[in-house]
Amino acid sequence: MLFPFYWMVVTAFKDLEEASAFPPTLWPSEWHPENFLTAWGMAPFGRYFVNTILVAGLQTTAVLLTSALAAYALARIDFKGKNLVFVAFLATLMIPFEVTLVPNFVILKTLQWYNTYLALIVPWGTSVFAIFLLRQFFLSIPKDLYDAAEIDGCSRFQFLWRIALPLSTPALVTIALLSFLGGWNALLWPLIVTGSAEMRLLQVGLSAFQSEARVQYHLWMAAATFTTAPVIVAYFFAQRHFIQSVSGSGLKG
Amino acid sequence: MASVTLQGVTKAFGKVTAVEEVSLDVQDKEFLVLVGPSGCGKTTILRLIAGLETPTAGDIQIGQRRVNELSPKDRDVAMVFQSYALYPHMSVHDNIGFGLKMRHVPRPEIDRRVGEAAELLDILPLLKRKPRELSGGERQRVALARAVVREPQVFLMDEPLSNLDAKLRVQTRAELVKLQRRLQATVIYVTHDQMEAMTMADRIALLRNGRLQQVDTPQRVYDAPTNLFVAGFTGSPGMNFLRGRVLAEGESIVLDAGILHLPLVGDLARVAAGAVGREVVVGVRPEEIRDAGSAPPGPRWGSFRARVDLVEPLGSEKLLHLIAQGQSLVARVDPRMPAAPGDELAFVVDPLQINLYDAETEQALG
Amino acid sequence: MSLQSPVAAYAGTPWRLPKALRETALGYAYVLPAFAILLGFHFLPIFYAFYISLFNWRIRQGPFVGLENYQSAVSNPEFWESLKVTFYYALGVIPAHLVLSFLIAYALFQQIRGRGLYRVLYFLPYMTATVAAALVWRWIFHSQYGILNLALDKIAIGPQEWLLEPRGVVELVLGALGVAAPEWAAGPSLALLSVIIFTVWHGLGFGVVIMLAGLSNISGEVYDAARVDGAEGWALMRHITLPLLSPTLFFLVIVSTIGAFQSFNSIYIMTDPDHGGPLGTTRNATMYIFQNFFEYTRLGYASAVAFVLFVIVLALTIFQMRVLGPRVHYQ
Repeated sequence: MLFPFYWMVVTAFKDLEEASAFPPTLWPSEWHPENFLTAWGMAPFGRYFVNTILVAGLQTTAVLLTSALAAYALARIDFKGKNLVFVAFLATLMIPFEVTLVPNFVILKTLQWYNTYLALIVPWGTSVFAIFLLRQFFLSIPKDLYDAAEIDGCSRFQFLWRIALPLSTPALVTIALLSFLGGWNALLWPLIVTGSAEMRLLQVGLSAFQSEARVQYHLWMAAATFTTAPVIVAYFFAQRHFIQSVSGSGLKG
Repeated sequence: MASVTLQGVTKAFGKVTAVEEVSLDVQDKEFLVLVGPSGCGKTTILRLIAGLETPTAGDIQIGQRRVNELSPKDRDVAMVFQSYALYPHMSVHDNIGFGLKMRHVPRPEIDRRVGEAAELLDILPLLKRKPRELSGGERQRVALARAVVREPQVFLMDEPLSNLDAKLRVQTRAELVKLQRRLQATVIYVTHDQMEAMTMADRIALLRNGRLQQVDTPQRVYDAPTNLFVAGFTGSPGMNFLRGRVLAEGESIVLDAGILHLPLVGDLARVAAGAVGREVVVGVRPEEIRDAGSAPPGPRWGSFRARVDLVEPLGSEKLLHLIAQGQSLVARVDPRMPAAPGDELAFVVDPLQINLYDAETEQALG
Repeated sequence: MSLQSPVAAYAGTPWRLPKALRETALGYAYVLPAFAILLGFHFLPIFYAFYISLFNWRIRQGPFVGLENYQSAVSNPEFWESLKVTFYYALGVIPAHLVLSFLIAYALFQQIRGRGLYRVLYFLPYMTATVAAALVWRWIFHSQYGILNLALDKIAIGPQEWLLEPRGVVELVLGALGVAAPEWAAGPSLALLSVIIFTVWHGLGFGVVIMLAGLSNISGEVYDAARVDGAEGWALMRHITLPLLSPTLFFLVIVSTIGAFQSFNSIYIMTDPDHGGPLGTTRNATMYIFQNFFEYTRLGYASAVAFVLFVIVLALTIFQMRVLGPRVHYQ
């Protein structure tokens, strides 16, 4: 299970000659930490990181906002056509990503959003899964609490902000983690809607680096190491949250 | 504090009418209890007064102000919920102060008033805790404090004691009444427990199927229920009912109820005079069926014999389940009265202590 | 205590919309942002995709061609090949994913000590971005310098071409035994199998975590009751564990089917995207659409293929819901 991680790190420290020797060595005979600097210097990885954090961060914020509002309306506001809206939301879960690829590309071109952050963020600025998860949480808040808050003078929005959301922290953490990871790991979409190197996200950059670095496998592994390191470090610090989030997605989703 | 007036209030949910044509005056500083079986509309009335529901017809006034269109926060009412509805993520202090915060009361004043309310309800040491760290009784006090701190015009309470255990409930019942006296508060209190209604209320309003049955002091409701439903709902065990007929025997008006043959006297005779020949239902409270041996019967008391079917000793009293000519009755008697299942005993009834209802309309005669 | 004086209150409350209308307006205002995004970028594009597929659409909209794009797709062997790859991939990934994650989760569930640690470790690959992880596996599978070939060497199997091998797995196995496999039974290429192995490894943690959650949702009392009733071993598994786990299994089947049909990253990184891997044997439908769209800028044709795929996935999902759905025991 873990061998690939070991192999990634070990190869990252070898020089080219040792990396491409057969049979391969299980432990570097010489350590070359400068590989990381070389790989880092060969492509604008700093820019990729900034782009990715920006895009994934804004996307997550947008998902939290839009899905909290929608989930609240679906759970707590009685409006005409609510069931229809709910079914429409559900139906989008059945749409495979591929079929929207071409039309969305054309739409973004028309909007002149091609190669902008907007193109990367807006189409993924909400999530049906997040709406369902939050709706479940909101529905589990007792009605009495809602009435009590109304008598205490809360408006609808204040109730959402001060009561419903604080009580749904586990769901919010789940949504934030999964949506940030989604943004962090995205490849196909950013590949299609961005053209220039300075708009690349991390995974696109790493994938391009593969051809840029040709057969310098030790540099592949160095780049793979430093692009995965932040998530892995974050994972080990907050693995409980990560795992619970995913378990939650299975039980409620 | 303020009075509350309902005028012809109706509330329909789709085809179901939960509250129908209810008119009710709650006096300033009065403790009014809305009581009735579940689904009778009592909670809906409370929610209508709170502004959580809008009436389909009729007017609601708090003080001299018509509040129909006002949202709950502008009505200046406080509500205590059956589930307490404490905000789980806030400390006790923040729970109590939340309503003030929403009304933009300055922070120091919130702290002061929360402190006062907490002191009044004896929960000062709990202010920093979260609701989940409190016992049921403590939560109930926090819920009360949250209402008290607002100094509202009216307190609305929806079965606030029903989640407490029996002993705590009796204790809190008394404390709640004392609190109401001390605050000189107008309280509208909903319960399904007639014992709670009897012990706490200045006046009781009895509801059935969304309609008001009787509004009166607890004693009046108990002594003179206006219809069969109220008669049966109040008291535990409930009133005994016998079918009978009003007859005129010479000068006097007589009730013939099979096992019981009673000459009617006083007011009752006057009322029954108009119902001669009609079918009636006689209501007799269990404590009014007395042991013929120990109670010296008055001159015109009726008597009957019955077989004891079951004896329930309650310590301070004894309940006898009786069967007389196929008719079941319950008598509440002195615990020292010798009675065992199978005994054939004689009982007497004071004609002044019975109630008569029209068998058809189920309303009290008169 | 109210800020409003009684007189002012009597003078008339401010005019407002009727309550039902206000609620409706509020409801729509709240769903609007999410609804707009879903409608604009997920729902309507399906229809737009169909529209585009009716045109000879290159970089710009070209002449209307009716169903011509569909005809040329159906008559193109590459299209059928890509569907075959997609199905091979799904049939390789989904059962392996389910069986392995169930076995691991079940084993972890039995033992109390170290369960948490194992769970953290199994989950680690899933936390790693597909691109980086696929890059590492590409290196492991490397036909010349890969560590996997070294391992094979040790157990006396010759080195393999792995990701560069277009020949079918069945063909290779039978070939090693000196039997020639017929062309129709060649099976998925070894290159595709390599990607499948990677995908199973990468997604295993997700399955394990979900199954563990499902297993711990089954109350111990139910097991106790079944044991008292005389069930043990396989009977316990067959009549208690699996039925009660069925909602979890159903969820995983649906999720991994959707995932398998959309798979792109691993194939794009691990095999040569320009040629669809060795002799096009790892070019699945997504890859095929991507290529026609992105490299040949045949937007109309790509849309036609995507639309066909959409219909297939929809049918498959409905099939799964219809066939598997009723067998799921919800508690």
